[in-house]
Amino acid sequence: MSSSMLDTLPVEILYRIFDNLDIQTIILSLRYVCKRFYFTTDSYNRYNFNFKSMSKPYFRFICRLIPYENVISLTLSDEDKTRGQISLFLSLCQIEQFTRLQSLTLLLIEDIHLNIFLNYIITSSLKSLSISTQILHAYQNSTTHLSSVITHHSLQNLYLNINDKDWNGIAWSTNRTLRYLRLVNTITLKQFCIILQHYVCLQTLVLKEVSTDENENDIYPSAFQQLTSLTFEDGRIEINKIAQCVSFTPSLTYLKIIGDGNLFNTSFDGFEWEKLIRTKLHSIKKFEFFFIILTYSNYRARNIELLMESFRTSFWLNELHCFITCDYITNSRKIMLYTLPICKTYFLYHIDPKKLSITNCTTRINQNDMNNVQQLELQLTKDVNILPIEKIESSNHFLFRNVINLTLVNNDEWPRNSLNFLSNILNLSNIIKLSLSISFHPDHTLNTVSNINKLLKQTVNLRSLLLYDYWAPDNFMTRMETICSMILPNIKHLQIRVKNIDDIKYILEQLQHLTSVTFEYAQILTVDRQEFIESLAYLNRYPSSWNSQHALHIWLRNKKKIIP
Amino acid sequence: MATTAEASNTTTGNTETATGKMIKIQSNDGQIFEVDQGVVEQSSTIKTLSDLMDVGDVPIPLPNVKASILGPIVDFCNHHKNDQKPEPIDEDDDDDPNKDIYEPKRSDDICEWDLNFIKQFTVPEGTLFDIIMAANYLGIKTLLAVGCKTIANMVRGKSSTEVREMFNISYDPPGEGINAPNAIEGQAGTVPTTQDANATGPSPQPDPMNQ
Repeated sequence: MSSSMLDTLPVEILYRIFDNLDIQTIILSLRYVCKRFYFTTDSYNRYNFNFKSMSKPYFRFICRLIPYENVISLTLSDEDKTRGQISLFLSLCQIEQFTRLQSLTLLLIEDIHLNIFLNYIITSSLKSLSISTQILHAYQNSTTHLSSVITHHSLQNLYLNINDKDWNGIAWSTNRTLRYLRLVNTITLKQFCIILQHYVCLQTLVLKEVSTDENENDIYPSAFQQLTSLTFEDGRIEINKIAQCVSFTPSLTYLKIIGDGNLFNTSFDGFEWEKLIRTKLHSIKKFEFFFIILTYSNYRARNIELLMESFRTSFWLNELHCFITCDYITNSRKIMLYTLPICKTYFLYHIDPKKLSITNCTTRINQNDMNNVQQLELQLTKDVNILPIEKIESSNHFLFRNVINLTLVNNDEWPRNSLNFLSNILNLSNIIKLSLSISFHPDHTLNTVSNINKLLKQTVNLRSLLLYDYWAPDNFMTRMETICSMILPNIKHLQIRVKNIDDIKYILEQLQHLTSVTFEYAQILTVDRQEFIESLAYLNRYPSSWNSQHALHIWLRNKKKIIP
Repeated sequence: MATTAEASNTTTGNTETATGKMIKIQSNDGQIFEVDQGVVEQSSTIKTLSDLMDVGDVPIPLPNVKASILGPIVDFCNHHKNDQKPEPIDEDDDDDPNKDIYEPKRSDDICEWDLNFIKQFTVPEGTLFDIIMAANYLGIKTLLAVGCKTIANMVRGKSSTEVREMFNISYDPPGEGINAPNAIEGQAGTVPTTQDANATGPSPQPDPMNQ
């Protein structure tokens, strides 16, 4: 037997193990395993404090123990599961104390808080910065600060999801450090060129789409050689606009296009794309795409074969090694045309027995083609019952083996084969977020609830349950009891529609294990925020809340105390 | 006495193959393994030694690795020798256009073959730590990553009590030394990691993760 033990491993290996762990496990558990670990957590100097999904009591506790100078990465979030976190953070910590921070991520931050962080960023040595803002609360103008930040001398990677007002007001100046830029906004061709003109070392650009303005066509006659990777993500696809963009970036080695379009105003023909790449992108090594294409009403299935024929040339198969599949969804007359392995993390799976699938390469079989999919959505229809479901011997054969986020839609009777079907295409025990958009028809309610219960018992690692459900008026009163009976202790975040404030109180009283809840208003429901918070005082759960027109978000403290 | 083991895809006695020059390596208990350049390239230690020494037919001694560990390591490297070129040495490098720089470090991305490979090493026998130590010594980053991710997956979400039980770690008894409850409570406000002078850390006993 070996004498090696976990607590005798060299410190550099312990650090590597810490690199793969969440902050809760390091700070709240490993630190107190033994004397050596206690001091190892002290000396570890590449902490990644990611508070994205942290419960409120852990957050408050950990904030007191932050080893500021040993933190290199910080993530704060005002998303649904942790509404009010950034405000609480600022009341407990001073961002200026993070003297070695290299990466900062601010999720759904309000402008009032953003300005505090922007002041810090300007004087920091950050290499990576990610900002997404709450568009509805954009009452302060951050443009001046943002302009300084995006040209900051040390930044190498930048992700921005900001409102259009701030985006359009940015004053650009030259930056020689930025190598990676990701934008959620639509930009104009002029802005596209301005970015490339000022970010002279930019290698990778990810954006939604580029719109063209006739007035700005001939502004930049020269090309920009520095960009090697370009991605269009979740925008409208028009080959002419993409051709305009890539004519400025002849050094691209990688191009990815994800989005939708229609046959009315653009072409998805392989010959056209081949011509574009051959004439404008001589250095291209990899081209990935996922097109969702709306067809016209008299579109014929045989056209799919013609479309795929255009992707069977030597260029696609031998030069680019592009393996492409095309699904024609007859019900919705929609084409999904995409390269394999799939290049996006979200996939809408169509259960359609008449679905027509054709590939450009008949010999290729790869069980890992869908490994990038982490978020899967599908509509459970009665067609599930007639799909052939083969016995799967091993979890290794799951079609969607890496899915952790599942969305199910059901507008009718819950199909009896659903659970069997789901168990065969994905590993239900991997699911951590489940969204259900269910129509509870009185005739099927018992059956639907029973099937959801069976599903929830299979999803043993589920943390978030989102219910976008529709109940008939006559059974709304019993709804809360039914739902509370379904919520197992492993679920920490719940999103649910409520009818009145009594529903809210009932949920919070009955489900003590929840750490955050989003109450979506089923109808116009005005909640007096302060009065509501005060009325919850007797629950002893110290909620932080954030009220919008359509929802009330609450981040809760458990009744249990974390420290004895 | 040294014995020669035949590594996968190699033929004992041959010093040249289709994949290039063969190198001999020797475990600390005398067993010799013959490996090709594809294996050598994955180990910075073996590569450095073979570059520095004109070893000829003399095996490179690896005094920190026993044969029962070195054999599987050779198998691992043989399996991965045709993989795409590994990440650059600089781990912060973000030149890969497909890499999402904001993606946190993942430990659930161990491939199926590696999962099955690492399963043969266990905590009770200590071999899981042996393979990690050997990977570290030999400078095989991919194997070291698999080992560390495996440990991380085992402890994630566990309380300190559960970690102690899982890895048979003896608990430093309270009242002795710096890990005593009072000592830790006192230190927590002053140790370098804690900025808040009023903060007090819990004693070794608390199990916040178990609450």
